[in-house]
Amino acid sequence: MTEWWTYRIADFKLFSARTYIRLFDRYNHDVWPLHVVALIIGALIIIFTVRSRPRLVASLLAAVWIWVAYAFLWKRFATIQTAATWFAIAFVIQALLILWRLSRPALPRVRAVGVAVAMFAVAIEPLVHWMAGRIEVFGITPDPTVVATMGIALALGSRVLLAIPLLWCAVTGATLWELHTLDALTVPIIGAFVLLLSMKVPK
Amino acid sequence: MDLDRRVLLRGLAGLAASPILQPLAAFADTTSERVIPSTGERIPAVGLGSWITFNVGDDPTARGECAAVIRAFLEGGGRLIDSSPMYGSSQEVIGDVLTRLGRPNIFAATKVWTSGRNAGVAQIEESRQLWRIKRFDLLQVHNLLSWEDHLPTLYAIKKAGTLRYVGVTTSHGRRHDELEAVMRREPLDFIQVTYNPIDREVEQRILPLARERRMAVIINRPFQQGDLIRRVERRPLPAWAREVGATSWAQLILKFIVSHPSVTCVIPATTAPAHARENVNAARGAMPDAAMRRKIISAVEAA
Repeated sequence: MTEWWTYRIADFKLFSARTYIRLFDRYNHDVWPLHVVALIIGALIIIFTVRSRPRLVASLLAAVWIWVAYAFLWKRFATIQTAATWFAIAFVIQALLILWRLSRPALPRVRAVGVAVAMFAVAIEPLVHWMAGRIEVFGITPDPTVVATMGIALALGSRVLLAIPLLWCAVTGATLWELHTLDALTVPIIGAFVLLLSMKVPK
Repeated sequence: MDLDRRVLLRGLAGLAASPILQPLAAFADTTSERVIPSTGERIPAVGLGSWITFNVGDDPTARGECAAVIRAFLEGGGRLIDSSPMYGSSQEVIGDVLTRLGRPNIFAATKVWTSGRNAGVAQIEESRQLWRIKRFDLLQVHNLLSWEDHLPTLYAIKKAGTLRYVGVTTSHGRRHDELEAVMRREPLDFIQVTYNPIDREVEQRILPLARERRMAVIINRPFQQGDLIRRVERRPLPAWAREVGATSWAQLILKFIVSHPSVTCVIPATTAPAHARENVNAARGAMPDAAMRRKIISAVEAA
């Protein structure tokens, strides 16, 4: 895009809060009861992380990213957000990165704070989004999936796996900020917190 | 006969635009239409914008609501509908709704928003298919993006007879220097800018230049995307608003905008059919004179 400096975030506001919420409502309705399966997968991922089984984590987590890329970003979000096609591609790249970085037999140590972030994403974060009017669940929609993945990356000490999730934190933060939703800053704040913690991770 | 009428219309438009008759015209104007200077064609002074409001994707309920808005707008006498390929699914939704409404007679305005000539040509064709129409009435270069590439394309389409008017747009008061330069050198039929009782920068150079260059002016963001309405609605509508027939803040603001002699059409967006009707009606009846316009600015600024 030339002359990009003449644009502001507000110019890229494309849809109303109501349209965004309805998108989630219709999507959740369509894919129910996959939420139950997704939460079980989320719990398994956390268990495998704690037990330092990166390959099992990788296969489940990569599958989740590809599903969210396809079902939410590509099929649904792209109907109102032109750039969502690119987000979907980024999510698939993240899935490949996960498979590449976590295809190791075992890791020397697992950081507990990362596990805590992942548990927050799976168990508590949906409540925050629910208060803002949207049902967002790990493995179904991007935000909890991204936060959980940042936790896993932190726990297993892979900074490469933080890049795309951190970009998403900015995207979702800007989107929700423009829509004036209550949870606009939740994911960006967690992203900043994870970024700070990751600087202390030995590579 | 046709030519005579056109000459007459131009003459009348010129007369109305002459400085001596301006205050009188402002008071006496009871018509809801404005003249497009380059042809003398008349269009209703209130159109319909589609930024955000019509980008509802494939949601059938929301599309039904969009249909209700467009129906109310057209029944109220509106004609110009403006969109852009930048607005997500808006063009597709408009095309769907127009088909459902039996292809009513509208003034179809959209934009080209991409870099490079070939990409522009392809995007215009895609937009045409989304709107499901044979031709656009107006094509504009969105936010002046790559205008050197697109204007020759637009002139060529116009010459071929599948486009009636060519324009450029900006919004939020940006890039006025470049807009001014383009206006001075290009034979545009339309420009589109932001204007309302708060954002009045275009009054300085752009609106007078449009008049001098005989360009029609479309006004976007009349309500600052709703922020302006939310701001003023905390206060009661002043009693003097009735003097110009305004029954709401929205109508008062729209009357302020369309009473500027350079303004051809204002394009508020809405999700409520009742508001679409109310907006179209703002172009009818008495219009504020210079003193009333200053009163409106003070009242909005004070809110």
